Amino acid sequence: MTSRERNLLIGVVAVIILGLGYNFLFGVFAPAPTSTSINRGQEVLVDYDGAIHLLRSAGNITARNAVIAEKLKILQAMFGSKTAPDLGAIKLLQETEKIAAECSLSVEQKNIIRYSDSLIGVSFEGKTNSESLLKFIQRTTESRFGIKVSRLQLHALPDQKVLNYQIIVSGLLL
Amino acid sequence: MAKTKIIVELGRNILQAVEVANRNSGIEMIRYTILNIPPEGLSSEWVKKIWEQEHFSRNRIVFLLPPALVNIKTVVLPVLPPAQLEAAIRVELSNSARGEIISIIGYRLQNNMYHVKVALVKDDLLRENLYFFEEAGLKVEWSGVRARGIENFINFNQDFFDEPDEDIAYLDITEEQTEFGVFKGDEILYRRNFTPGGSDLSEVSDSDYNLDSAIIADFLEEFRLSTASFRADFSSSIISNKLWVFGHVERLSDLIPKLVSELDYKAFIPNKSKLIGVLTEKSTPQLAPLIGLALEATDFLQRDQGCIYSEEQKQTLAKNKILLNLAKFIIIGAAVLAGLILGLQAGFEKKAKQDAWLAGQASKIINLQNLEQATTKNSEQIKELESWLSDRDRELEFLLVLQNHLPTGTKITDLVIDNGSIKDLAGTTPSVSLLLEKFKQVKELQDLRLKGTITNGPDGEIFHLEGTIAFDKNTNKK
Repeated sequence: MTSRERNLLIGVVAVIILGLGYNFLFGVFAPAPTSTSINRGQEVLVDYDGAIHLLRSAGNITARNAVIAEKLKILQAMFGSKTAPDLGAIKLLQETEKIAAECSLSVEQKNIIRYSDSLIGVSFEGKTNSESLLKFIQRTTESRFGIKVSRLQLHALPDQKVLNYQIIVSGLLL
Repeated sequence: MAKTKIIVELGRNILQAVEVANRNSGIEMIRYTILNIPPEGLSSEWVKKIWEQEHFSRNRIVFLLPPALVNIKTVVLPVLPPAQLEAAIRVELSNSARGEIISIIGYRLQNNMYHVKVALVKDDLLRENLYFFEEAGLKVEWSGVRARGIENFINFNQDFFDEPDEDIAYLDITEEQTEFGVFKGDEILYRRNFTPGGSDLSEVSDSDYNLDSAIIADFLEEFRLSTASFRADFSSSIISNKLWVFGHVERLSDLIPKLVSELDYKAFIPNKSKLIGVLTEKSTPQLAPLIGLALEATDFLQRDQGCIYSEEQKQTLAKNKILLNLAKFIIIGAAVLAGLILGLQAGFEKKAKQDAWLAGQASKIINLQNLEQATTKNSEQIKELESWLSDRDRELEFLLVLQNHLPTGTKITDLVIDNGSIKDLAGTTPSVSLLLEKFKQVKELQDLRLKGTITNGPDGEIFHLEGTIAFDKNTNKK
């Protein structure tokens, strides 16, 4: 081995040993991931890079939050509130009655159904023609309130040329 | 920075020294001295005093070996790499050169063999000289031979004196002996020492010049023998009749030209050189070997061989090399360790700063994290609501599709749909199988299947179906 080759080999071995040694030392003595806590006792685990990223994205986070909140507000306005279920039921009844009147749907019986804390329904029964019924169903889907047909029961009366119907329109309480 | 070296020669009666510097502008003679040794003899105190008086700038010197100390031999060996050549020389001379330092001063290729010029120096005699200089406060770095110095001097000044590209012959007249040599480039072709030397010739020169004197006769005879021997060994070599003359020839400047002309040579005693700085003039031939060695010592000429070290010097050099390598290793190791420690320290300091900064930003970070969580929660809620609303027109779509795809003569009598599930679809149709076949071709109706039995009625076959409305939320979004 020439002196140049020997020196090269020594250099390579030295670099490898130093690299391994540095990694070992760094692994043993390196600082642990940073955590911070605030007075209220709420501990937030975040490292420095995460914090920098978060602060840089503050504008985006705030803007996105505003957009989402606005969208949720609009959607939530379509539904009733769990805190006032009776009011929600009344609004549902009023809306379906309005739609029924617009569609000339003949209603013989109405009922309010409480499925659960978060779901209410209004039941209409009566006799009508298919045109009015279809119109009613269509208007339900187009309503500004978040309502939909959850049950539809039809029985044709061919002699009278009418349909005996029962329809339940339900809405969510949020 | 200029490299400065001092070359010293100790003759029988003379001490001479030159100080030469290798500068960007050229090789400079800074100072030189030629002094007769006092009648009371040579002493280290005298050398020390002279050193101070002459204002030499350094205490480290190169020693020009007196001819009496050096025996030059020629060894013929096969062609070998340099390291192997040296080992072969040592083996070849191991018996005949006991207690002697063996140093290769040059080699040339002739007839596919290496003719190696080897300088043999008695180690104990060399050490004596080295100790003498040490007592005078001077440290000898290495030693060199006169022939090498002369060769370097002539090569350095060749174009200065407009020397033709031929083999060059020289006479080197020292106090004790005379050397006739021929060289070409870096190769010493031929060397031969003979007596009388400069001291004997000076006696003749001081008295009347007499060709019949024994000393002159001896000189001419030996000179003739040397040239004849050279021509016999190197018949193809062409040397000009110009003979360079070096050595202690100041008192022989009239005699020597006359002597060499007897053999048809023309003596050339140089009185100048290419060196800048102090001019050597008449002292040039005397100082030429020292100047030649100085050219090597100041790294103006790079040569691999020719530096002679005593055994003690070799051991010291080897030890110094080990210590130097160890020192380098320690320094590098310390630097690396310092770097590692500083790196770790920097890491800790960085962490401390980051911790302090994070503590200051804690409330902002918590707020942002809460905001992110709220956004995520709201997004999920929006998805749920949108999903709930997405199938609002499911029943309507079903009814419209059913209406459009009923076979002719089919009447629906009963329909129960509960949360997208067809509980019962009853009616009459001319052929239930045709009905089902038609439904299978419609995406929204293909999940309907027969429930119970098919019975015959007055208006056709009575059927009951059940299933689910195959409603694609994505394609039916409004």
